[in-house]
Amino acid sequence: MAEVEVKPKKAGPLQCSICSQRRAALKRPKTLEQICRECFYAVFEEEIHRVIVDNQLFKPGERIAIGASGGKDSTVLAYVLSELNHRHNYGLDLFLLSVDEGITGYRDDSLETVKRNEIQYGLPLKVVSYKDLYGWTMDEIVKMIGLKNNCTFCGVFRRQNVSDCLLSNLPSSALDRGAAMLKVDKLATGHNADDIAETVLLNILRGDIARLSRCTSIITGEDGPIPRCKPFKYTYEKEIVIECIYSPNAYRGFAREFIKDLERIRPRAILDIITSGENFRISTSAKMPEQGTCERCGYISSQDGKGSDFSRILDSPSPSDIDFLPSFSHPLKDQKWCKACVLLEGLNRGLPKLGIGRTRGLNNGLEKDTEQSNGVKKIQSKQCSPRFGYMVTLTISSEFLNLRDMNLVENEDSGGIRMNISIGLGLCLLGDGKNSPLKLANFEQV
Amino acid sequence: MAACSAGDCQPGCYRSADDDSVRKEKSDLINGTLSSGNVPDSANRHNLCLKCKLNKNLASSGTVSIDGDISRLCFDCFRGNLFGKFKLAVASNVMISPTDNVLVAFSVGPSSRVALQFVPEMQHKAQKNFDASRDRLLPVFAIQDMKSIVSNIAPPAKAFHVVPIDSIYSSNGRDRLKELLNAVKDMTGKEDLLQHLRMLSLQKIAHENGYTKLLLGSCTSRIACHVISATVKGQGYSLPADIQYVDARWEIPVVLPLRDCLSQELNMLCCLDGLGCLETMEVLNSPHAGINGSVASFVSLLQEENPSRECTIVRTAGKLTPFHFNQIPESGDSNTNLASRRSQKKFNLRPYESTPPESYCPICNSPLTRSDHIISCSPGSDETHGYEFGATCCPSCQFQILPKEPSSIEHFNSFLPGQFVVRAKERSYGLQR
Repeated sequence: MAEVEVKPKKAGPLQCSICSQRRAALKRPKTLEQICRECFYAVFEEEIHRVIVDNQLFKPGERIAIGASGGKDSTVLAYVLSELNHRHNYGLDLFLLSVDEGITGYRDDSLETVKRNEIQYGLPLKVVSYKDLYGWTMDEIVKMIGLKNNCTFCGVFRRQNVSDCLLSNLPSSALDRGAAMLKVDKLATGHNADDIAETVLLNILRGDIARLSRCTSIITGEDGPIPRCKPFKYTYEKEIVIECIYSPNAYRGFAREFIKDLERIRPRAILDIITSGENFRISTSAKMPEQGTCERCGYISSQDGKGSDFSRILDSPSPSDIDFLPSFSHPLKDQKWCKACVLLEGLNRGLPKLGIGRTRGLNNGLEKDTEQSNGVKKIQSKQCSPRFGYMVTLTISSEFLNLRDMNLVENEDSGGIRMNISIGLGLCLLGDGKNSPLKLANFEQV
Repeated sequence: MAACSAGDCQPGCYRSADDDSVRKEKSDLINGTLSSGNVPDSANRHNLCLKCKLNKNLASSGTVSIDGDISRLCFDCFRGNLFGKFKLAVASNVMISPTDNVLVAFSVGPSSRVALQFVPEMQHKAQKNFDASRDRLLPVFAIQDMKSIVSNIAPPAKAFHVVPIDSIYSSNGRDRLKELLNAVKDMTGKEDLLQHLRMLSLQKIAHENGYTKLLLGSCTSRIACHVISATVKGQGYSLPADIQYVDARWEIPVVLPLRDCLSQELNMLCCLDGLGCLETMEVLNSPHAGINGSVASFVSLLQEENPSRECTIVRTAGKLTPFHFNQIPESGDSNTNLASRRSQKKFNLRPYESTPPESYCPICNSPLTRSDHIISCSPGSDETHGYEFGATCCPSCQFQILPKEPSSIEHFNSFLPGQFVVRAKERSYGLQR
């Protein structure tokens, strides 16, 4: 990064350090240069162009879907790509691709923004909805699993791997599927330098060496059906904000706060983190194996470009549960499903933790029927394996159906099953190992 | 041996997750404490050591007020656990052979204090010379305090060198050191340069006094901070070089036997065992507005929130490919070589990088990436000196240590310690050939 030349002091306002004609209007976050607005836009766009060309992100004639969330990153991406496509004759066929998760009230605004983008930049828009893709809207999912400030699934970096999170898997998977439906050659997303720097740090902190080896790549998933690229890989978030009048409050984690502190001390630190990530040498044996087609949806999975082994997910113990790992055989154990399908299946069975490694004691015969009749949702299970030998019938009125978490835990001492439902309105269900009716007892919220 | 790779293990667990005995022990531990009715006297359940179940654990004996797994062990098991990690690190990496003279870098902090305690304990039967050497990085401590601490270390017959950093210069050291540091404008650069100079002086003492190994007390916590700060400085390529058990880049190889111990544990041991030491960590980490201080705060915040975070960071970085110099080199001593090969097989150590790096930075000694090396080879060197010092350095040192203005470069270069210059020249002339 070139250091700013020290110019002799003049009386009056600072001149733009690039054109020396106009008045300097701002200090560029990346390089701390004093420049005017016009030069800022020019240098901003020129740098993106260089990134696209130097990394050979696109080929002429390709159909490119721009992942459009309605946020600042994708809005600016849409603008810049369409602008550069025109200015430098990339010859690309550009589309906007947006995902409607079905969250009442929230997505409406973002979708409005994207529709505006469609008009402003003349880019055709395609919207895919969770309902069409998965059969569930986000509202329905949330109602099923419940949501607190700390997502039940994620536990925000404490105990669980965020890659297990339903809420973080479905979006990227939906984008892939939408892109496939549109028959595009590539997907472009608005991930910026701050995002990638944060991801590098988070993967170190979480111990995810496989992701660490991939996260700085500007193109991912080349071996899958829909490669993705990140034209904003070297673009500072602050500069995108300047470009764009919108800046919705994005997620601010502790890692992002740390990156902001670093940026204050040394602006180039963000790029240096990305450089480090690019230079990490990770032996191939440490990478995630298993690439394949999901047996449920027939799709080669998500962003990783790799499917996941269902049994591996199921068997991987979470730290606090290592003692509860029973040896049983799950019917789906040997099937290969992608992460999204695994998590969705869990949802369909009313077992939201399925596939996250915390459910235990799933019985061979445990099935769930949900019926909605007279406002009462029933969850019935049938005769199970001899190991547990009980029949559980739960009838819970829908008002109580705030089930956030269902863990089946085998208590070897008592020989029975204790089913815990944590958080929310707690219902403790006790079975005693025989065909006796269940006792319903209330316990205080844990 | 790499730290345990099983999920969020207890901090400090160093055994392989595949080790069946570990699983069994774990399940015993947890079953013992969680299942009702197994322990006859359930009132005592929480007071006994988790491991030996005989003695009272630290929490109940009232000596510690911290939470966490450490407090559930008794003192003997706690100390034994730490010492075990130390021994395992030394043995599995063949760090110290019977013929070695080991120099222990002693900063009077808890980590190096424990190292000073453990080394002789491990070797108490063999005939060795163990010496302690200290670098004067911390002017706050009076020499008198230091001497009294060292004199209490058994066995008493030890050589104790107190050496200031400016001894790296042959003459006029104090002033030259001052000028050199003043020429560095970036605060982080200054801190890091001091660390590099410290290593230089340790190497010099070791060389002059015939030591064959240099032992540092670097613990997990410090290494975790180094992982993050090196990442932040763009040193992702060279990072693995600094964080292994062994670093044989140097003339006197450097070993890190406390790599698997947390600073919290080492502090605790010093406190409980009455080992004299001074709380240096706080001194070094306090109000520094630079990158290093910021990283240290960040990591300690994460560690509070999740006590296995430091382990996870080091474990992740441990999966990056190390360099060929990160193991004890084959020596003339066939016994050492044999032991080395045997331990590699036994502990299933990874094969290390076989192609040596092209070159190293003369200041920080980090291996350069191929592209950085090529850039530095390109013409445009200073005609007068036949080489350009700055061009031989790594990008990080170029940014944060070397002066920016061309007019200041000569001034800066004139205060460089001779060793840096020699390295740069060797490199430069080597390239030109």
